[in-house]
Amino acid sequence: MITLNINGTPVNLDVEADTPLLWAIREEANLTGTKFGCGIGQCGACTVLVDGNPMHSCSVPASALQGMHIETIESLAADGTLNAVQQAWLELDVPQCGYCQSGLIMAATALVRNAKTGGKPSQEVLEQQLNNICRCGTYNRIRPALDRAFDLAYEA
Amino acid sequence: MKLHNLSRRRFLQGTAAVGATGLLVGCSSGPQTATLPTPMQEPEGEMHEWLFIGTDNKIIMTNPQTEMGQGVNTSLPQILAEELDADWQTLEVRQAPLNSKFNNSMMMQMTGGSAAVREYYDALLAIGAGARLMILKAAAAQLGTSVNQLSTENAQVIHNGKAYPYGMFAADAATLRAPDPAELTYKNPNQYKLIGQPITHRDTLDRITGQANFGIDVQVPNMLNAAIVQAPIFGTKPIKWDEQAALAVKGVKKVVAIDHGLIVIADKYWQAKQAAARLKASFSTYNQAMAGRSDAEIRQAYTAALDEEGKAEVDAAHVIDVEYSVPFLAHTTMEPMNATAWVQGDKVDLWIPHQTQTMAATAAKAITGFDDEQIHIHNTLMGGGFGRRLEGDFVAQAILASMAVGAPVKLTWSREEDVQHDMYRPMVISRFQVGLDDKYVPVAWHNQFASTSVMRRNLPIVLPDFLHWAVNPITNLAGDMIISQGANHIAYLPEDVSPDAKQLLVDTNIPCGAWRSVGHSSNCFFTESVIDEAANMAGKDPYQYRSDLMTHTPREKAVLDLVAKKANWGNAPAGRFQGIAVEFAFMSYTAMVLEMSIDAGNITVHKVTCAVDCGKVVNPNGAIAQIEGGINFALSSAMQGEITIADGRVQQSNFHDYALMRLAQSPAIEVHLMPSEEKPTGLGEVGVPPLAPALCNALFAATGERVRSLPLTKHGYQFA
Repeated sequence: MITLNINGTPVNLDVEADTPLLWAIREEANLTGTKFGCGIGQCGACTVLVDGNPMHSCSVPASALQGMHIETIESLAADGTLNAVQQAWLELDVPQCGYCQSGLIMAATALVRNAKTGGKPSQEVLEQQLNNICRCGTYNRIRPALDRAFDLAYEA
Repeated sequence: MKLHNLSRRRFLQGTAAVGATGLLVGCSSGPQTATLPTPMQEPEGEMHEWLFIGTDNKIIMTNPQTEMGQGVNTSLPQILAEELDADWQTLEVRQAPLNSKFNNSMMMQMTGGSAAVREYYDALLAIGAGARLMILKAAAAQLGTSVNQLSTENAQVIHNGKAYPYGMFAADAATLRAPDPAELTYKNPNQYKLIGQPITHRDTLDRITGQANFGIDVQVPNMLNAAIVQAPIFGTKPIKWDEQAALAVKGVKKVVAIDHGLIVIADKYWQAKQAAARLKASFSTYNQAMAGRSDAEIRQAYTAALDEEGKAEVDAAHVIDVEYSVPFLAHTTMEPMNATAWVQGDKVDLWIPHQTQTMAATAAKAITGFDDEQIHIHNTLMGGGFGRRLEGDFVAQAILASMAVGAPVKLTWSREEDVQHDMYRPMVISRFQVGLDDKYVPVAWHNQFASTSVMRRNLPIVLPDFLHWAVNPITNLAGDMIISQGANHIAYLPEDVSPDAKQLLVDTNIPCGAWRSVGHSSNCFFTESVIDEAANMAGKDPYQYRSDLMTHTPREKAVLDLVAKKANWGNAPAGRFQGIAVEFAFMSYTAMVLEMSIDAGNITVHKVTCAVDCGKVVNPNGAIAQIEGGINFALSSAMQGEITIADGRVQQSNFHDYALMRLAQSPAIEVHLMPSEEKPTGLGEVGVPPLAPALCNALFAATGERVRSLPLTKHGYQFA
């Protein structure tokens, strides 16, 4: 039994020491917004934030993250208000099938938050860092949505 | 006002009912005498009719097509809601259960072939208009007036400036005879409020908050979870495995051997996955006569078939004699294959992200012997389809797993299983002998192409056993129309010259299926590259050469001319190079100009401009998204997509060796939808085919190298 702090709440999870965070979140905490895509940290569908940093939850054991602050997609609009990235994603109607979008939105959320201290990175750096796979090819909406998210977060 | 015909002889049905709580509108392919179930309570779960209007004002539509990211949960409701004058904000949409009344014109419940809007447009207009008329008739009687004194808006009947919700009249409407198709009147398109509007997808909010339910998210009480290990070599079987090692893993309930693999069932998926890795299964060895041990062996078999067929002799001033090829490709939907099944006594429930209820039911019937009425399909959202989810393989596995433990089971594939057990876009080798006259006009077009058949694998699934002998004779005689798509449409030939495209089916062990745009994905690359070669031989501009030759396909020429204009063809900035291609596919016309630069083999695709004529566009927002997605899907594959075979098995296993394009590599895309009042035609796949030839034609412009086989990584090129 381990205890994880997921979305601000301590959750007791009955998992083996080597159970990946992804499956602890999906099967034990029953938060299915975080998706399984590849299992080897390649696609980013399982991206969550750990102490504010994007992490591929499929490739890290849940037991290693006790005491850390884990955020999943379910937490972003928990108060009923979309965060800047979600709002931008809605305005640009980014998703097609939507399966990869939880991971993309978590990764983009970290980029937008980090700009608070580091400033907005160049377009080139942003595009290199937001490297999750979207098989539907929504990249042409992600690009302007990411821009819009920065605007919403910092120029509102 | 133009009166649309009900497509495929569909007729509306309403019915009289005592104690009705609403109007249930049906639509059948049979005569109008059929009755609807009564009383007409709001259906719980499965809705076996097209539309329900409750006395509480709730309006529910059954969507005959399943949502996989292509936007049918938005576009098809837009059509029905337009003529019904429903309230867009409160309209509820459910996915169709298994029921032949939702069949398409191929007598199947299938979401594919870029057919959603084109198959159901007329029927949905008629259902909307018919239900609205029934409400109006009931309202006229209740309000003591006539139908022509009433109007409708947002699910309300308007009379003398007062608004009455549809629900007020739903019970009375249910007692009326359904209107005759000839009775229906339709809006003039210039009155449309929904059709033609770029409406945001209905599922977007769920998809950005983690609330969207995909197949992999299904939860059924007391459900177990399963992982699978399939025989790595196609057609082989498990012969030995360490069952005890698997059962020793906490939570594991059972190991089930099936024909081509082993299923491990546990409380949790991760337990099942861990146990599957401990099975250390060995499988029977490769012992079949068909080609399939390696790419080289398959190419050799294809080449032998092509050599035996021989080339055509062409008597012309100039001759192009070339050979092209494309590799096997995997679909790799982001959501790996999965299915949840629960077989109980005399019924099976299936919670599946699936493109065809009919094929899922076919898989269920083969195992259980059940009838349609015993099979309950609950379609979930799909995390991508692209043709992969037309197959019944993973559904059958979940059913077998459920039967083995007598409980609901969700079976989820690993990405490795997904990449190595796909139904692949076939490898194709295609030869051309094209004759050009002294003015470089193509006057003879001969093409022989060898491919693994898709239909030879598919047909036995749908044909009864006693007809299986007929599969090869049928496909030899009629060809595999899935693979030949596009090979017979060459718009550049004089009207009295037909293309001669000869298909050679070579049986291999590699299972092949429909991959977004199917035959067009190969044939458009071939034909649009060959015509580029002809333009080059003629010393003419590739766009002008094409446009000049297109004398009898005005809509195709129009998109070609439009894309050249919009892309500023011929005036690329210094250091950038353009390529052009055009196609006719799924009844639509699509042309593209791709603009790239290259530095030491590193390719940057700056921009793709696309013009599409798909008739009337229901939702420009969704339409443009589909084209953008198709272009990115195709560019990823043309640059770096390749499934290779060695020792009878697929060599790639995950995204580290089957790479997909990412944001930084993706081009700017500009889509131009041709304004049109023609009937809607296909859209979901048409963004794919012209991309590969446009890319290779641009590469030729940049380097002078004519690439005749994909992907470009094989030729030393990669994304910058």
